[in-house]
Amino acid sequence: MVEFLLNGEPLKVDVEPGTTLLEFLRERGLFSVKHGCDHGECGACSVLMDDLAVNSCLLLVNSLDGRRIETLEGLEGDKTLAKLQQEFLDTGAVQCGYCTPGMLIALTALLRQNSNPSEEQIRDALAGVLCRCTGYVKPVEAALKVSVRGGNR
Amino acid sequence: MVQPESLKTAGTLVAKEGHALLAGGTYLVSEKPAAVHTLVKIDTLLNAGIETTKVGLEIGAATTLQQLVDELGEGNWAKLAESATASCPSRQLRNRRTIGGEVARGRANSELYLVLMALNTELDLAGDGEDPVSIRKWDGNSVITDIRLKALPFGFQRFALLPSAPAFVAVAAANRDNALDIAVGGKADEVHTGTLGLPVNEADLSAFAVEAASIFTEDHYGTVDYKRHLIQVAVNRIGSEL
Repeated sequence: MVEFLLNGEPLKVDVEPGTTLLEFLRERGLFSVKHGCDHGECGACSVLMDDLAVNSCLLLVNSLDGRRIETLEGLEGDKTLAKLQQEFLDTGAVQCGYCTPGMLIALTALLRQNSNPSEEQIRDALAGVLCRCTGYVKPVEAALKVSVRGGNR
Repeated sequence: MVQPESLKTAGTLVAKEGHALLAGGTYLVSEKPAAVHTLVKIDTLLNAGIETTKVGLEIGAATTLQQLVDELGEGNWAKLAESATASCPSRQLRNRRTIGGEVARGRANSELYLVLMALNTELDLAGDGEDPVSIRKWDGNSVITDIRLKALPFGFQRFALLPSAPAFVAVAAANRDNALDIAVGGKADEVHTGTLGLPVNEADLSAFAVEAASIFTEDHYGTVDYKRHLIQVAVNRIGSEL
């Protein structure tokens, strides 16, 4: 039995050994968490754990005791996320969209730590999310617009 | 998954067949080795902090690579932080990957591991008062608790198709008493180490590079001879910096 917070809700769960957080979240209908490579390579399954972006495919549910997990579904109403989403739309930073939740999680984590990140810091935050459509140009541009306005204020 | 009360117990457990240590989990969970049926969770038992000592740094084994980047990104140890980013460009992975795991894994294409090898880093192991062991002599069989680095001038060079791609040739070197302790890795199964006097003598370097290049095979990155050449270039660049 393991206890942790998921999107603000305290959970006490008993899962099969070896169940990853990615599998667990998608079974609960949290489909913003995408199933990509299963090896920590693509970042599509990114979630926030204690405010840090991590790959949920590499986390075993049984190792999450006392942790705080957030997915995009739990960030509804979050001002930073709202600004990022709007800039992604306005800038045209979404093409196929499969990596977009991972990018938004990675950038939310960055903006929680630093409200005015530089382009280099934005690129570093996005390095763990593979995108085959955008070439990162538009997502970086969108994130920079949020950064200039003071991301989490 | 079992969570032992002490590192000593963890050491006993992991010696059993089918048991593996779990800290960051980025390697283990990704690979899902069929032979492992029990994970020994040690992340909460290990120290996760960086301390400056009289001779250098003492880093807890559970310190994440991102902690190295955040805490050492500026100042004397900035190159160590750079090597952590080069080894693992994904911040998501750096948030979980630990320095202890990086040592235990011993990846030849980890610039951080090569730097630790070049610095002849010492490892504190779980047990009753055991002396620290050189990273070059560690047998891989015990739980690493702390990593001790001496403050020596060091540098590294990497050759990769992209800055965020794994290096196919990487070289780290540290200046210890006017000699270069060198570690060569990249897309190879092992790390080659050696020592050259300073200033670097071209004949000695040439002989070292031939020997070091034996860890590589010919592939789409280039011939073994090309990689030998890159080793020489890298050592010369680092040598001139130090």
